[in-house]
Amino acid sequence: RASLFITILVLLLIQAVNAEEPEVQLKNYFNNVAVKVKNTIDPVEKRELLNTMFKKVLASIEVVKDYPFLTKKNLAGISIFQNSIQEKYFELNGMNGYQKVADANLNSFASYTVQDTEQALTITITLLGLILIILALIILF
Amino acid sequence: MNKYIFIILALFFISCSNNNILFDNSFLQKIKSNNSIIYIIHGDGDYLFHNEEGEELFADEEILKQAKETAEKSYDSEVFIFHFKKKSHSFLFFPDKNAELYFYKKGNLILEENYFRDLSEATFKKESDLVKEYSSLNNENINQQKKVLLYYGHEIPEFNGESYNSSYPEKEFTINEFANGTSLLASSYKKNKFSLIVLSTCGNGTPGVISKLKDYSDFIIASPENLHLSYINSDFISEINNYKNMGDFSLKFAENAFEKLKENTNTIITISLYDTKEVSSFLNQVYNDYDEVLNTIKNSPNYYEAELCDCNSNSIPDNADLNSGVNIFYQPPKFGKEKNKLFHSGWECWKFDKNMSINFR
Repeated sequence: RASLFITILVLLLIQAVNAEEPEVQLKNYFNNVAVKVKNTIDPVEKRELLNTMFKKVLASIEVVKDYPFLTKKNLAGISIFQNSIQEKYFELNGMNGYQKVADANLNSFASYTVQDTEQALTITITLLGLILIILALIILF
Repeated sequence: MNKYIFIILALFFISCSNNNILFDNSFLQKIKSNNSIIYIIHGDGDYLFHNEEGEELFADEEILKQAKETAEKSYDSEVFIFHFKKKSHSFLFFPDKNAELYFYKKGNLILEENYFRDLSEATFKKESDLVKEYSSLNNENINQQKKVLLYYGHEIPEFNGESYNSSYPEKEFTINEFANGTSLLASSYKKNKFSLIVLSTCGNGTPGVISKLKDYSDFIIASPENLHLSYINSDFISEINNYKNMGDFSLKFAENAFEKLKENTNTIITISLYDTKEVSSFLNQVYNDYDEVLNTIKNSPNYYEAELCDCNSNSIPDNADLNSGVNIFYQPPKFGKEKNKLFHSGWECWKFDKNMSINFR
């Protein structure tokens, strides 16, 4: 019953996201946060913006991975994308063997996130995966 | 009723007739150029990116602007700029022409033509026909002619080439189709070979890709790793007549493009220049192993798990001369696991474990 509900919700909300392609929406999402980071002076606020973005995207991906009709190929692409975001989160916070991104480098790090993500989205993730992540971001946040 | 039918038909024909020939071709054929430059700009896909200021740009539109500016400064060259666009319709029913050609001679725009790409035809067949029709090179000294092909688009796949063109997802496009198309374009000239091919794409600096293209060009520039969507800058094309030696020109072109990318790129930059004669020995040494891995990937249901990595860190024969015939311009990413990687071989190879399957649940 839960699967059916999610499927109906997906189909209904696809109409909402069709106004703009999901790749565009996701790229714009990362870019909007990066612009806010660069326009903020306080490094504490910069970090919070980036951390919030990473956490939201990772949480959305966790929800999406439980969607029952994803193929192994869809899941592979989502998993690669998830790893990429996870690594950036670790690096920002100096976890998992990374040196923490210095305050002075937060703007560059924001640019790097946008550039790397834009390249990754083109290559790794399928359209269905993108739609679901965008939907999850809309629904949850 | 007849009045309305007439208006609709008139609008249809007006939208169709958008060819703009500024000079008679028989007259143009008498004006010879020393060099021929062909741009192919793929726009039938997702090419959105953001610049440092956060502005939304489309990579194909940006490179089209740059190509036109470069053509206007190329006084010794004929320049063909082909731009492939997404499918669209006028008034819901009438398909728009999905490709455009800008043809320049000695810095002047001579022809602007919209046409239909027929994907049932051989790759670049239409473009090759247009080059044959309008090209007029100075054939007095054929060995001094310089011919350059520049391709801008997403990574040209070595396998699984469906959906490369978003408007025609059923039409497969891989390096095989690209190589055949390159061969057709090269045959537009008396000496059936390019001096330089530039692949402004991700992940095409591999033994597989270079092997497929080496017979069609003396030099090839490609990016083994991901390439930022601001692409390989082609400004330097306008300097081509100042260089007698194509190797020197190609090196300077690659260096110029690298310096431009360094200005605003925080991700990895790798631009490799391959001398196709000099790299033949390396390609012969590794090709069997490389091809075996590629065939394993193609025949596996988990083909999407394959990944590219620096050939230096891959198992290739010990005696393989990785560095021969390659000039690499490399900058590691500013962040990430590879930020301290100081060197790159200039080649990417496929890595795939057919027994591995990522556990997702």
